[in-house]
Amino acid sequence: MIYKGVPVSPGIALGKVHVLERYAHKVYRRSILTSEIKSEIARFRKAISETGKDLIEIEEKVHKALGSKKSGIFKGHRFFLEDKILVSGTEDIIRSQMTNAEFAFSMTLSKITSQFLKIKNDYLKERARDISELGGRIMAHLSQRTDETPWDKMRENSIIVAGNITPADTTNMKANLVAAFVTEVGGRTSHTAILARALEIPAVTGLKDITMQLTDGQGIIVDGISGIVITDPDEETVTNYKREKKKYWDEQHSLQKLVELPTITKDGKTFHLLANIEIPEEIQTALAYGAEGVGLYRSEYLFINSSSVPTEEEQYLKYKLVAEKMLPYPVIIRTIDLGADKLADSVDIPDEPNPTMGLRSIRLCFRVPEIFKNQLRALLRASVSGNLKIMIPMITNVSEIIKVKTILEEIKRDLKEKNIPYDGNVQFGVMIEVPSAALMVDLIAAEVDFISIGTNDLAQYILAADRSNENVRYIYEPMNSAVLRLIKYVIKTAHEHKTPVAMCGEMASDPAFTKLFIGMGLDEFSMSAISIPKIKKIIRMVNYEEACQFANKMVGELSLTPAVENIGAEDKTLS
Amino acid sequence: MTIMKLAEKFKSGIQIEKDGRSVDVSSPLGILTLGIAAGDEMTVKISGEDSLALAEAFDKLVESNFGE
Repeated sequence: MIYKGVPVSPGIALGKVHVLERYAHKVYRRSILTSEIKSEIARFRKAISETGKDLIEIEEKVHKALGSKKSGIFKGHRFFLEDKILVSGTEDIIRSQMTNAEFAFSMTLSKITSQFLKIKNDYLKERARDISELGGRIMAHLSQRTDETPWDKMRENSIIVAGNITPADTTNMKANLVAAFVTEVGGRTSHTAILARALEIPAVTGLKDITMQLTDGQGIIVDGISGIVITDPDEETVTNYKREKKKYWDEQHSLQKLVELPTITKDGKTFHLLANIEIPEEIQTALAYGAEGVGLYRSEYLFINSSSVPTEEEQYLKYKLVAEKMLPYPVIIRTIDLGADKLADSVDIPDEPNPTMGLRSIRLCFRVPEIFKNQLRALLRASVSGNLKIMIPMITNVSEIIKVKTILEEIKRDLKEKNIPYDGNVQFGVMIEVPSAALMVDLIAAEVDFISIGTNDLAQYILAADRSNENVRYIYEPMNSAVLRLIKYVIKTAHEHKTPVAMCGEMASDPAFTKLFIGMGLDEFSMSAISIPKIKKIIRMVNYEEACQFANKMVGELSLTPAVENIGAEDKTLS
Repeated sequence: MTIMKLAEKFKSGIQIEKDGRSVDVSSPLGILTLGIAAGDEMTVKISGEDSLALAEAFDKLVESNFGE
């Protein structure tokens, strides 16, 4: 069987399925005699008290390792062990229905879980997972299978198949036996993804109900680059993938050697390669791939990954962390680039027929000034911790920039009054992704310290084609020369105003355009960390003078050579 | 001092009601499943022998912000 999911950690693994059951054991209903009621209840009470002891032990361990904030939750769980609904509820069922404790308890658990599903508040609803885990522990004690951890039956080259992988799961995990993760939920910023990338194993998520379709011991191949998962592969497939796996690692090793080398053309001109990140946990990987800074920190992930709007303090701590970890390299933090639906609880916005072109990003920020100011304050406070730069997305004209600068000055004044330190010279820039901004870059350059070209949206707006729509994706290949022409204009004009230009969209990591952008004079390329070595390799093979001539020939201001249409094909020979 | 501990001291019981469902405060799970979030409105019912005394104590507790 072939499955297609979301690739969240690259690599290729071949192995055997190990379905992560957690504590889910089958529960059987057994009728009991009146004389057994007392002993069943006693057995249940014993399981509860043993679970209580477990929790105390875990609380201590976690407190030692991670502090009281993380360990406190186990104290709360002990509270539930005395809960009437849980205990009396179960005992009542044992008595009235004359069943074994396991069955009675599983019924109580179901009842509680279904009540949770009715809750509207997302945060509280998630607590159902806690209760379910607690229930699992109690059940394990009841059925006396407590020596088994979910990781026990693992063999070498186990490919973990689970609904989700949480930090709690990893406490007993034998990492050296794990070859890959396959989960039902989770995206590129999920715990599954972070863990997989840290372990340098492939992971594919988004495979609905996969845990119910696979069984332990089944042969499985995971391709974390394409997101393909193959079960019960035949010999030929196995041979092919073994080859692909070797190829991938050989490539990784040769690229690793590049990490130490500088990003410098054959004729000695230096360029800078930075990483795009979404969460602070990605910094390690970014540095490992040779990033000379963070060219784009997508701060909205702080908002997406939390059930409530993050406070100024929460944000400050994250920004500070990122700035510190990256020292002495710069970190460009982009203010939230969100649609209104994400802040639905905080702001009254009518349904939008076209949200992509509606109240989002900086426009939304102006509409929720308290939230925007909180973010700017957190950024300014964090600016003293490192080389932090502030960047505003989706700018369409100069007055928006002036408005932001005014707000920044107001915040700076307030911070000064309160004697809260901030970097008075913190660098401020904007993204050039809306065509209007690109066409007015001369006026914009005068107001900012730097600009960064967001090629994804820029190309989309210029070509009026949705890149994710397979019916019109062909319009992007080969890249339309209008897009290249505008990029060249932006770089040239910004430089005339002494403003450095960076690029943080996908085109920055596309080998087809590296030589072209070098020739246009792009100062900084920011991309997914994993692409840095391959782009560095190209830059090191390029001659800058030659690249400049190439760029001039390809995208002349007034003429349009037919050769431009082939730009994708020609440069692929370089990589 | 929590509502739970306060209720234990009296003979009367405290029930919290929201959206037509009501739970006894002696069950933290029950309270959780009511799904009350900060800022939500709920109805508190106190009934029993010493309900007046409990109601008074309850008011005092709330006014003192639960000692926080």
